[in-house]
Amino acid sequence: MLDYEKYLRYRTFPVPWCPGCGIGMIFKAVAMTFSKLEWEPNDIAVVSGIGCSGRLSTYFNTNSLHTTHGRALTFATGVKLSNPDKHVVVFSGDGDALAIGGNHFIHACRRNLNMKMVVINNNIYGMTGGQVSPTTPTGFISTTTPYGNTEPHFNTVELAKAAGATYVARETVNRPRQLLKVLEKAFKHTGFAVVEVISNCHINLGRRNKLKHPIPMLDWINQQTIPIAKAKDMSEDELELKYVVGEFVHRHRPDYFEVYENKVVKKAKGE
Amino acid sequence: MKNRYEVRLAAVGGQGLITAGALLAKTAINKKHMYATQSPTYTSQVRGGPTKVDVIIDKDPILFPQAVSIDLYFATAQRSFDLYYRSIKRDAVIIVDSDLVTKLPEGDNHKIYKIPLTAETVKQIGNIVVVSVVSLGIVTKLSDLFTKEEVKEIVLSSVPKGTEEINLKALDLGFSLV
Amino acid sequence: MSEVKIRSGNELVVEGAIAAGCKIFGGYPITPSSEIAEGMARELPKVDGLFIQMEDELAAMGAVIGASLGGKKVLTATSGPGFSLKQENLGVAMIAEVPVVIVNVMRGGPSTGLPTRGAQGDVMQARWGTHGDHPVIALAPAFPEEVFTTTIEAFNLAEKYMTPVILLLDEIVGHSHEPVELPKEGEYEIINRKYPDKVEDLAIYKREMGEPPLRPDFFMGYPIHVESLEHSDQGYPNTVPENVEVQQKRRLLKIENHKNEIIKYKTHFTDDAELVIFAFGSMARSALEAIKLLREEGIKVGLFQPITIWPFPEEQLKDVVKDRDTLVVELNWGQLIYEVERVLKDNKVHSLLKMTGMAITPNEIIDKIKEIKNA
Repeated sequence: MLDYEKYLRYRTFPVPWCPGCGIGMIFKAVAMTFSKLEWEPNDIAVVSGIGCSGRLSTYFNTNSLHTTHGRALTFATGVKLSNPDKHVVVFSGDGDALAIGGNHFIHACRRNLNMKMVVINNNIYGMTGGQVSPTTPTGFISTTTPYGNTEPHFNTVELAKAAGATYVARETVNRPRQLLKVLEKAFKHTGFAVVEVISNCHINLGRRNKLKHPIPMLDWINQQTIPIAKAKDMSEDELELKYVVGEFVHRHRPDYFEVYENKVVKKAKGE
Repeated sequence: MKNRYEVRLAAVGGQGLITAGALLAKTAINKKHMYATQSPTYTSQVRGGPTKVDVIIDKDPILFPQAVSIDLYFATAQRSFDLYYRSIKRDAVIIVDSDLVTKLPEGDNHKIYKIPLTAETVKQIGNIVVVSVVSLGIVTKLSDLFTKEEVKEIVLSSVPKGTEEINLKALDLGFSLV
Repeated sequence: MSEVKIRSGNELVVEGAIAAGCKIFGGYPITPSSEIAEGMARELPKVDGLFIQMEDELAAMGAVIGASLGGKKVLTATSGPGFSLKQENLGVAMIAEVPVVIVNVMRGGPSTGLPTRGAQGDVMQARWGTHGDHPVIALAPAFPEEVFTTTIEAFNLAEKYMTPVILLLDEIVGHSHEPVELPKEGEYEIINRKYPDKVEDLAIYKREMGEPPLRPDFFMGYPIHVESLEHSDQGYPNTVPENVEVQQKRRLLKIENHKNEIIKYKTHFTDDAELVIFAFGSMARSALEAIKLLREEGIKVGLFQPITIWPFPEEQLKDVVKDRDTLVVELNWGQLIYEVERVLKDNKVHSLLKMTGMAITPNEIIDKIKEIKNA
C-alpha cells in the first residue's frame, strides 16, 4: 500500500471523471500532500461543492461533505468554527468558486479562517455539458456561447489577492512536482490558502475548440503557462489568456480564531 | 387606578419614544406589580420615519400586546399623528407637541393638550436628548398612572450613570408643562 | 415578588437558545429578526460559543449546517426574504439529516414587502419552501414564556429527529416587550443527539423505517461522508430506485410516525364553546382577547392554538372541534385555512384573513363572530 492510499475511499471507486481528466491528478496530489504532512484522516474534513470537482469529497477516506453549488466554503466555515483544531480542505470548480459562489469566495479570503481551498479551474461547466464559465477564455466556443465567448474572464489569483487571502498560488496539471510543492506550503500555512489548479476538460471545452484529446489540450495549457518570474517582464497584453504559475501571496495575518479569542471572547467574559 | 390603560406614543424615529414607552411599562411592572407590554412599530427610516409605541398596562395578564382602545395618545410629529390616529377612545386624552402637530382632525371632541414640548425642552434643559423623559413626565401626570416618586425611581435606575441630574430635571419639566 | 424580566420575543429566542445549549450562530441581519443575531453575538462568546455574521443568508445556512455536523447545536435567524434564500441549504439539512434551528420572524411579503410589519405569510413556505419531498417541523409560539420554551423545544426536536426545525415568530411576537418569568435550569428538558455505540460498515443512515439516523459527528473517528445527493446507508451517492425509496420514506416517516409526540397545541375555553377559533402566534393572542370580551357578553367562543404548525395537528384539531363551527384567523390572505378545511371537511369553516401591515384586532374578531352568529 502506498503511503497516501489510506486517504482514498476505495469502496466508492471507480471515480466519475472522464478518461484523461486532470481532476484525478489533483486528487492524487492532495492525497499525497495529506500523507506528506502526516495528517490523520480523522482530523481532516474535505468539503466540496457541485460539478466535477464537487464529486471529489466522496473519494477521500476522511470526514467528507458534499454540499450545494457554490456553497462549499460556507459549510466548511461552519465545520471549521465547530472544530478549530481540525483540517478543513475545500474543493471548488471555476463555476462553483467564481460564479455562483463568488461572494463566499471573496469573503472567505477576507475572513482568513485557517482553511485550504483548491480551485480546480477547467474553464468550463463540464458536468452539465460544456456551458461557458467565468474563466472560459474569450473567443472560446461553449454550448451557451455558440458564436464564441464574448465576456472577459476572471483571474482567480488576482481576485483572491485583492480579497485578502494570505496564501495564493496557481499551478497546472502539467506541473505535478510544482503542484505538490504549493499544496504543501498552502496546507501548512496558517490562514486562508487558495491554490488554483488549471485543469483540462478536453471533452466539454476542448472538443468544441480543436482540443478534443487530452494531449493537445494539455499541450495548449502548457503553451499558455508562464512561470511567475518570467511574467514579471511581460506586458498585460502579452499575459492575456496566459496562466501565470507559482506562488503569488504568502504572508501572515492573524487568523480568524486568533482574533476572535483575543478581541471578542476576552471582552465578552470581562477578562 | 383603572384595570387597564392603553397609551400610544407616536413620533418620528430618533425622538426617544421607545425609551419613554419602555420606562412607562417598567414603572407599571416594578412599582404597581401590574402587567405591561410595550410594542414598538417603526419604519426602515430609523431617524425621521414615523414610529409608534403602544404601552398597555393591565391588572390582568395581557393577551394581545397591541393597543386597541387607547386612553392616552401622545404625538410629537404631524405625519405620525395622522398615521396612528386610530383606535382612540372617545374619552381619551390627546397630547401633541403644539409646534410639530398643528393640524388636528376637524370635529375632534377629545380633550387635547397642546404643549410646546420640543421648544420648552431645548429652552429649559438645553438638551433635546432628554425629550423622552420630559414626555414621560407629561404622560405620568395626565394619566395619573403612577406617582412622580415612582417614575423618578425607575428613571434613576434606568438612565446611564452621570445623566441622573439632567433626567430628573427633564422629568420635573414634564410635570410642570401641564 | 421577584423582579420580573421584561423581554421581547426576539430576546427570548436568544435566552432559549443559550439555555438549550446552542454554541454556534451563523446569521445575516434582516428586519425584524436582527435582535436575535445581536443577542447571540453578545451572549455566545460568554458561554464558549461562537457568533459569525456571514456574507449572505445562503452562507449563514451553510455555516450552521457545517457546524452542526461538527457536533455543535446551532441557530440561525432570518425573516421572509432571507428565509427564501435559506431554502436551498435547508434542503441539505433535510436530505443529509442535520439538526439545525432556523428562526423566521415573519414580516409582510412578498419580496421586500413590509419589512417592519408583522404577518403570518410564510407558513406554506415553511412547509414547501425547499424543493422535493421533505420532512418538516415548524413551531409557532405566541406568548413570551412559550417563545422561550418553544425555542428549547425546537432544539430538542432537531436533535432528537436529526432534522431542521423552523421556529416561526411573527413581528408582533418578536417585538413585543413583556414581563415574563422564565423556568429555571432543570425545569425544562434538554435533549442532545444520540450517537451509535458502534458504526458498522459506516452505515450512518441505516435505521429501522421511520427512525432518525444515529450518526457520529465529524472527527469522531469514523471517516463518514455526508451528501446533498440522494445516498445509500453509507451516505454515498446512490440512484438505485429501491434504495432511493427506502431513504426517502425513512426521512418522511421519521416525522410522520412520531407526529403525535411532536405536536403541541393549546386549547382555551373550548369545552363549552359554540364556536372554536383556530389561530396561532400573535393572532392567537388577538383571538384570546376577543374571546375574553365576548364571554363577558355571554358569547361562548373557544380557541385552538397550534404551537406545532407542521406536522399539522390534524387529529388534535378534529378531536377538539368535533362538529362545531370554526373561525380561522390568520394574518395572511389564506394559508393554513386550507389545512383546516381539509381536516374539518364536514364542518363549517369561517375565515377572517387579512394582511394589511396592521394586526387583526380583537375588535375585528368580535365583529366577525357576531356576524357569524347573526347570519
